[in-house]
Amino acid sequence: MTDTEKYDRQLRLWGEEGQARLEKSHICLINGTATGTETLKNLVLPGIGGFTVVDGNKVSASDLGNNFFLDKSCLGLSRALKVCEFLRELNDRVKGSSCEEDPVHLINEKISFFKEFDLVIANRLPEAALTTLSQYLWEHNIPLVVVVSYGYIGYLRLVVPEHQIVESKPDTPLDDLRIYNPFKELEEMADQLDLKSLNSQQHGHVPYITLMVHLLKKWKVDSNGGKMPSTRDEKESFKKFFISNANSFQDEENFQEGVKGIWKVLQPYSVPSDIVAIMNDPKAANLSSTSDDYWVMVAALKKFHETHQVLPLQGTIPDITADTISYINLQKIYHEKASADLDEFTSIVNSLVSSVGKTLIPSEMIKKFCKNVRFLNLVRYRSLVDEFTPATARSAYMISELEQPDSNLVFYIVLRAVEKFNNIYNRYPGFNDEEVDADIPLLKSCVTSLLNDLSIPTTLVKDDYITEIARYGHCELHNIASLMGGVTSQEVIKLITHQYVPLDNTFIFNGINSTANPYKL
Amino acid sequence: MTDNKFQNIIDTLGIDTFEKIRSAKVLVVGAGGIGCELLKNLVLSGFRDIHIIDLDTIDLSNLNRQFLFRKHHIGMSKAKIARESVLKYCNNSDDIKIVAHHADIKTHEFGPNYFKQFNLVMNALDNLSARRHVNRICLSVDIPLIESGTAGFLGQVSVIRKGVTECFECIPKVPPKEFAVCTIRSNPSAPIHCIVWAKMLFGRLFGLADDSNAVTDMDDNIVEGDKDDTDNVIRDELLPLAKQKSYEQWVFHKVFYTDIDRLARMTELWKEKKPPRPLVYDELFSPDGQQTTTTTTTTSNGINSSSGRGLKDQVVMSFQENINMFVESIRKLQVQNEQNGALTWDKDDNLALNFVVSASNIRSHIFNIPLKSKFDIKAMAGNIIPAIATTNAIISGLIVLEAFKVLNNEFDKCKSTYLLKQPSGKRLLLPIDPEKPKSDCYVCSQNFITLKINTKTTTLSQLLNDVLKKNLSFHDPILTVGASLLYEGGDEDLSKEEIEERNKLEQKIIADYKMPDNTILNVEDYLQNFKVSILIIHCETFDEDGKWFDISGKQKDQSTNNNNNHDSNNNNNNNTEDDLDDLEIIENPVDMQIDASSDKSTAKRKEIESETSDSTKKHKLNENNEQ
Ligand SMILES: [Zn+2]
Repeated sequence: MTDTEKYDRQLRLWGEEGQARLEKSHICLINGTATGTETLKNLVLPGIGGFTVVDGNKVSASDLGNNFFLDKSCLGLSRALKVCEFLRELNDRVKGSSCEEDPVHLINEKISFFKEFDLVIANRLPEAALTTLSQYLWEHNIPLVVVVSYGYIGYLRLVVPEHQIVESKPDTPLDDLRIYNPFKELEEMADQLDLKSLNSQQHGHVPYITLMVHLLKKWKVDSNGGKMPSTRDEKESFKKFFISNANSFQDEENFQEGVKGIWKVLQPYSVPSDIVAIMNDPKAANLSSTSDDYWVMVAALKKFHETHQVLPLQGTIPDITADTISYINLQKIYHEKASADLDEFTSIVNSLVSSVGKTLIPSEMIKKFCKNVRFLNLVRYRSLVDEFTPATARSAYMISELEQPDSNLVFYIVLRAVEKFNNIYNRYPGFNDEEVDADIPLLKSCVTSLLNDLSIPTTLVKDDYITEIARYGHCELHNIASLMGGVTSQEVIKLITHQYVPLDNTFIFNGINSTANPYKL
Repeated sequence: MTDNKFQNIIDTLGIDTFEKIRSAKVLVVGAGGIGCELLKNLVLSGFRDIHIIDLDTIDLSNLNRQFLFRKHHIGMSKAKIARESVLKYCNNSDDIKIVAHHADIKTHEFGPNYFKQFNLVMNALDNLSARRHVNRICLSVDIPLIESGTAGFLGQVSVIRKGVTECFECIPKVPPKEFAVCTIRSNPSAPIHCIVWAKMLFGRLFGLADDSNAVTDMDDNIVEGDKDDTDNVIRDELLPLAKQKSYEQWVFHKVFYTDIDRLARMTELWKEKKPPRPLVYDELFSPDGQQTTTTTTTTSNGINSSSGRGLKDQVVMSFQENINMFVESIRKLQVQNEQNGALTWDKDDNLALNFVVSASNIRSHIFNIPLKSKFDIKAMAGNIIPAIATTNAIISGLIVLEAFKVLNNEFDKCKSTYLLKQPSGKRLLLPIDPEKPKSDCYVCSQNFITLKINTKTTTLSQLLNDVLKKNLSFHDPILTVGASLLYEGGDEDLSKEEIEERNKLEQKIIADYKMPDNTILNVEDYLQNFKVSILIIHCETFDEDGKWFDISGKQKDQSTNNNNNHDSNNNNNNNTEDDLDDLEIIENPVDMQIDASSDKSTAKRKEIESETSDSTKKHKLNENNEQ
């Protein structure tokens, strides 16, 4: 049982189900830097189940300058231990542990260590170790989140083979009203409407949905040979007809509401293309006893759609002008249709489940799926290996992005080159103040070689950026670390709760002008 | 040596900026979600002379994001504990000076003179009136202000500088939904109407006496007719009997029987819907106080109670459970009332919340309105805005980046930045250049507004409290017309007689007190260092139900319009004949807010860059956002 009072303000965002998922999750942080610590702080506060900090470093003077939780008394002690200690203080419901081993060593020698986590946050890992880890996690379908803050620049990359979302929670979901293709009960109700028999009070309070269904049918039978309006002229003519049925258009809000959304209503019903794509995914066609519940339900959705040519109805209607009784009746019709659809959908799911030999899917889950069916989402990330391998890197895309003025992608290139630099010289450029000037040409040659590998013209990365990054000397500024910690933890919450749509797949923050862009690399 | 740990900052920002940071004196207004993060970021960015002020105390529901507070701090001052925690973590406290005030920013102690000592003010507030207040003072003493707010996954940061950027009040704020009194009292049609009613009932039963609260009159038992028309009046004779039995039975009978019976008899109200049905206490409870029957359970579209872990508060209680809760909460509240005097309603006080939950649900049942869960009612009654750590972290980071620019006097580089829920188009953060000050802003440009009001019925007290204080956020207005002083507030030096005299004055109708149609009223607030002229226009009808006054800004003629000069002293006594425009200004920011649980709230959002998809909007956040 969660702490409803303490978590009240966030439960209003992701609900008890999202909270339960958070509380079940165990998250690993590699390297307790300022960025890593701030990320984890924002996850411990809302109550993840547990965390483990892996860090072979001892607390140094530079940690004190940018990590809020470390003070002088921590100097020389294990950073994993101290960070873990301070984070545990933030929430007594969260279990924290630390591992003082060098993460690179762990990755190379005992990678199965990472199998137990629900998500891994990697910070400041050399490219080779990062690649190895990402491959391992990829095979085990564990999300990896890579985050770096480097001076004024922040970088974030999410990696997971497949991320399923039932509750994408769009900003302004429109109700599925089926005015264009009314279901039987709605049509019958509209058929019964006799506008002439109504007094003026009643006339102005017929819900516009009923009006629209009624008048559309009348218009197409009387004036359009039984066809729905399809051309612009036909639609205009229907609109005139609709308005002409008002006693006094200026005074009848129900008619005004009808006209407001008339162009949308006259669009033929269609299933959103991304939902079609999900239904046509091979995973829905090839079910087995190991299929995820998600894919079983998508397969059931496809069957439902094949039978009815529509998706299950959600059954909600907006707040519209209407007298109470008509409104309640209308609500009832939609509601009953929705629950009939849900029943049918549930029985399809159950028969699929038994035919492939899976355990039953809880009815609450089926209900949730059914309710959100128009907003399903699926993100398939590209792997880091595909991104890092020149043959599969998206060079053309990067070129087009880098050609934009002030593109933030340039920082991605330079940060990749920084890792190359580290690989060659075993230190970071500009790390020692005296060496900044000497390091700039070395870093530049790393940039050049990376760009050559990727077949990107070297002119697309100006020297200024290389100088800027060298000047940062691999440092973390607390303020940027904190901001990136905020962005990263937000995406982690989306991944863990399976609500909202997470970034796909890279995010660059530029603190010099407070801009940020997502890139698909 | 101490600066050593800031070497990274010196390397990245340069020594000049760093020196400015070290010598800057800044004020953080608010020690909540943004305030905590901001204080941490400021200290770790090298700021070392910080004042922080907050009037609030720590609550359990803060702990999911306000990371400087622990359970054992509940009930203590946010500002003081935030200071303590930061200094504890920073260890080398002698280098950092943080002054914490557990106080209301809107008091004389923190007037313009107090503000003058700072290089920069940062707002981390959760309410509109304090934001307006700080905005006015910062403008008056010409101190740069960074304004910010978050709501769920959304957030925004902007820089306000007199004469250079738009001020906080240049853009009229969204009028929160207000309900007509008759909807609340006689004809509810949605759960929110019953919730508003229940809060008013709470005030009536347990709060301070308030003549404007007309929710019910406890001893009035007339159910039909008028008390002056003694022949035709019908009374509920059961009410005095109920009063003798017990307090809770009296209240129950009065609000769910007598008042409902009266409404049900107004047949013209119920032509289109089922009339409300009065409830009889004894039918619901046997004489020993036990419930007799399990009457019908009205379910609603709430969350199914069978769901696995089932958070209790998210389940819609049955009608009978509501009845029981209502009676029990009245009993307990009455005891509290006797012990502690008048109570104020607080969404985090479980007993007070239980009262509103049960009272509103019973009323909903009576009027055939769906019942709601405690969780939902809390959000609607308490105007709760979701809040999480992640958003506050991002916004606080952005505030500090703007602070660097402000200290460097680089106002040309300052941005207003909007944080979106998910990347839209190509952005998650949307930085835009700040707007120029609006030439018709009554705060930073023109100091002139037009007020339409019924001058023949409105009292001075209503003008003062509802219009000037609640709506226009004046703290302590002084009213003059021409050379004559009409009203001055403040209690300090007044004798009892003088106060009585003034109370009498406040009951005067404004038309009878030198403010008839077409008067120019000058209002001044010393604390805010703010002056405005108000043209009063007599008006008897308003286009919306429940509205009884209308405020609009005033456009200067085109020739002066382009002049974005920030000369704000009133030059406006002579332009009364200009046309009025329809600039809307907030109606009633404080009490009734839109349903905060809904993302598609009625918040008026200012669009930008209309070329992209409709989600690329400049989200002008609800000004009451929480952090
Ligand atoms: Zn202004």
